[in-house]
Amino acid sequence: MTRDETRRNGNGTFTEVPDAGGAADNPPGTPPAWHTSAAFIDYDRDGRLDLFVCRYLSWTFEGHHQCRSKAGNPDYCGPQTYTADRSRLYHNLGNGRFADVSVASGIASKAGPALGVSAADLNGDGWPDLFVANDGAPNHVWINQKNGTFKEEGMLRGAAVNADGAPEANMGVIAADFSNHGLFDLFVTHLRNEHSTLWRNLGNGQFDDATQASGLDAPTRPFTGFGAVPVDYDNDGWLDIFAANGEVRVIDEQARQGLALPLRQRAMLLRNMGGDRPRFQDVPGGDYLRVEDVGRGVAMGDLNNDGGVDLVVANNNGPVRLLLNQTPDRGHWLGLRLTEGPPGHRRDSLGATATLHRTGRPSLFRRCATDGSYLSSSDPRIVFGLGDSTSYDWIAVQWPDGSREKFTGVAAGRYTELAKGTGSRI
Amino acid sequence: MNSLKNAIGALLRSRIVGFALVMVATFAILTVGIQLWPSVSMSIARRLTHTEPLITPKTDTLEPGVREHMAAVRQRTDTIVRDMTVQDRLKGLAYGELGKVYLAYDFPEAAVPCLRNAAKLDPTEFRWPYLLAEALERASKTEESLRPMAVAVKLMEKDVTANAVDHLAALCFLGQAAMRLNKPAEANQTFQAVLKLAPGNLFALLKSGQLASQSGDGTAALGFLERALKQAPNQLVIRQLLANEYRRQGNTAKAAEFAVSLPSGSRGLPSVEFPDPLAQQIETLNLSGTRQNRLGLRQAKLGRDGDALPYFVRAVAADPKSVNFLLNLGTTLLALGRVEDAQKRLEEARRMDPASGNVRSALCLAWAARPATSQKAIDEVMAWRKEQPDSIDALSTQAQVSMRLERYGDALNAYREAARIAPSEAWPLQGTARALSALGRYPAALAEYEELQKVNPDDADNATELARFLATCPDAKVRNGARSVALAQPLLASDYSVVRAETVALGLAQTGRLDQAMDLQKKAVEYCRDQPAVAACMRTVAVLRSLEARQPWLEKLPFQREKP
Repeated sequence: MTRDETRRNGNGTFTEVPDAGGAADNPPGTPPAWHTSAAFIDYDRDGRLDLFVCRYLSWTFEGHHQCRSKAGNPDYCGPQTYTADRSRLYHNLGNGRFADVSVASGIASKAGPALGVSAADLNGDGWPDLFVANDGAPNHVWINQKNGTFKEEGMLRGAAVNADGAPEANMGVIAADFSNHGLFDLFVTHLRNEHSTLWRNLGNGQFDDATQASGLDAPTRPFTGFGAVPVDYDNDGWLDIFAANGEVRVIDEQARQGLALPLRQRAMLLRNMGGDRPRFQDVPGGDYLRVEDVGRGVAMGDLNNDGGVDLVVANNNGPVRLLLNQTPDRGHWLGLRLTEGPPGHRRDSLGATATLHRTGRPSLFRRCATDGSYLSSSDPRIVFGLGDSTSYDWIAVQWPDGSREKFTGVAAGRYTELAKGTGSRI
Repeated sequence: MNSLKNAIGALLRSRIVGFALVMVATFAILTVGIQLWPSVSMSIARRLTHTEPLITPKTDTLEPGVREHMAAVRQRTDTIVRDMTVQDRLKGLAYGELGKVYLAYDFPEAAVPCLRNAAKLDPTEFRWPYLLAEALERASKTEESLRPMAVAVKLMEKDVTANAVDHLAALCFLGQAAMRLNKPAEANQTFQAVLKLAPGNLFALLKSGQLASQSGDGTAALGFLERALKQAPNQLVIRQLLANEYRRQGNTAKAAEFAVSLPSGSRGLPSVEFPDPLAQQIETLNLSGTRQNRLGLRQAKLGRDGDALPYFVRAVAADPKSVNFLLNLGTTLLALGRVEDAQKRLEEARRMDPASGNVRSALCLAWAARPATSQKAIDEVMAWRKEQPDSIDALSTQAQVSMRLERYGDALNAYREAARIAPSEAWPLQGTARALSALGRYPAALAEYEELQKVNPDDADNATELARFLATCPDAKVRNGARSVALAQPLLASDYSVVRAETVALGLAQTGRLDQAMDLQKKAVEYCRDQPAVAACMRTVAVLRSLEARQPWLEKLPFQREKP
């Protein structure tokens, strides 16, 4: 985030708002902060999107350290080398101005080297919480106290550390329902020789590390994962995972080959085989999954509106890759754009959730969000993969202010805008 | 013409020419042979013993000492394995030693062929397949690591030099690998074998608990974890795993009882690893300054500056060009009171990297530690502030230098400015409180500490310092033993440290519970008997004497005794 904000005018142009209040980078006289990922969240349900900005480490040129590998090679510095910073929460005051409420909301009460964030209702109370992935330190689970403040309960809720009680190099984040159980599970990418971790939501915001049981340990252990997105690439109704990988420490074999940036690893597509306790398989998903890049950011979105969610991968020192979904025999689909606001000024209703109810098959629970992954922002539209049948019963939408509406007769095979207030109240 | 042919024929038949031709041919063969011998001999050696070609890691950017170490071991290995007269077992040893060195410097892919060759050439030695499995695991090849480790376990059974710890380590390795590969039945069988051999094996108990939990047997899971907690009641990670299990079972009250609360900025809990002597021995082969520096930092973090010093000295000797090593050495010398030595090292570091704020800050503090150089410290920090008015590092250094020179008013101003420009940082508020305390403005200091506590309720360091202040403040109106105990006792219960124990003892003394205070302090003194290098242990006896004499222990600044 820069010191000045830009504001969308609604006509395809932006206006710069000098010193947009508390959302300015830093007060004059302070060193620039190291911001990473960000998430919009209407934490106080006032209808305006507030902003959470991750801060990583207190780093300055003067305080720079030269780190080394075990053999004394100049190497990447781990987060332990520097002091962890405190992330920021900015309250949207309207008119493009924000107030820094980090201290008042409690967010500044805990420091952590934050790299990834998702704003989702983790404990099922209808209020948005925050999951913050901290690099090499316990994750933060900020539970919304419904009074403008948050309480950090990561250790208490089981998503701060892995099954061994150890913190990992938490980077890219996914908050999504991998078990089709109506709750947000958490998936986080990590360094090579750790593993990406899946925390299953047990209900009431209690989490359990289900990495090994879901078959994710061994396949992800050889990779350093960064961006990750929940993409149902085959529209079978089970959210799969796409993760961009790329080392942070030199890969000796690539260095011997004389590669300019010897940190390259292939991306991976982890197919969700379904079930109440899902199992994942590392599947070949086209030529790109054989290409070694220094993967970092990943965003998803249906770029050609064909119902197959596409991917954009940002690489370090390499080309941006656009991966068009050409999965053969994809299942049927139903696309939604959830919006709110007065006609003519509707915006994506970030934080809203949609549940597609089906008879005899699990309901599908999805979130309207751009957040998650790593330094990336995705298409907020929702795509329900319907598998081999287009039939469903109804769709329930929970809006960020807690109200719920029911929609029926939404056609499959295309995108439909569902605006707040146009459904029947539940 | 015929006579010429006859003459040549006669010459060829002569012994002299025949001998000369043989000599020329021999010379030619030898010349070519010497040129080709290394590759030919390696090739022959490999063919005879079915060994794999080795990988040569890229070493051109490594520390010079490390490069030389790796090159020397490699050369020795090449020489030995080329020698047709050397027995296979000794060749295996040479390959194995090279593999160990590659592992020590974190080149597991290069270690793999060395250790495979070693295991082939000496199939009776359990260490080679054991270390091969270790190398494969470090190279993220978990599946491949299972077989050699299973071989190692079999060999250990016949080898009198294999001890029980090695055997348990191999089994734990196999169990852990099976878990990673999502083979719970195999993993469980292996860990039960470990527990049969060693019923108190902490690692196996924890893993058995996790496996039971995964299989849905919550009662068994709790049983294993409670056994583990009995074995190691101070291991916080076990409490956290118990909390996880209660959470899984829906018992949130019990989960909350066992859940560990971590202070702000915490790096988490130390995890439980199985003792692995063979892997630990590998680490000692790493001669890099980086490792020495790391070992030094580990000691310094525990407050053992005296123990840290030799590591930093060795790190600087290994790589004299490293500014970080010099900085750590200088800072440690300063902490040990060897101010002049510290200044020399830090001045050298500053010459090497004039742009480093860390070095500049440490040097200012070192200069401030001696009256002869204190003016230099003030001049330098003021110059820094002028050069970089926005630098928070310069401001922090100014505040610290002022504190050290007992210019508390200046320190207070610097901390207040820092608090203004970095309102969410804890250190400026803490510094403000300390400066106010040093100025004798105790109620104001208390207000700052309380404000910090309000903003950072999870910050254990601040809570400890506030508790200390409340127990030892020279102003009797500010002292509050009951609140001090209420703040420090939960911290002590969650994680023992001498500082916490002593702070609770001082708080108890303030509430009149002198016997309890003395008991606690005696335990701290006892604990310190084995930890003489820990800075906090330097005053434990003096605190105990003060309690025994029923004299109040007062500190002008927390942890700094008021001059009597």
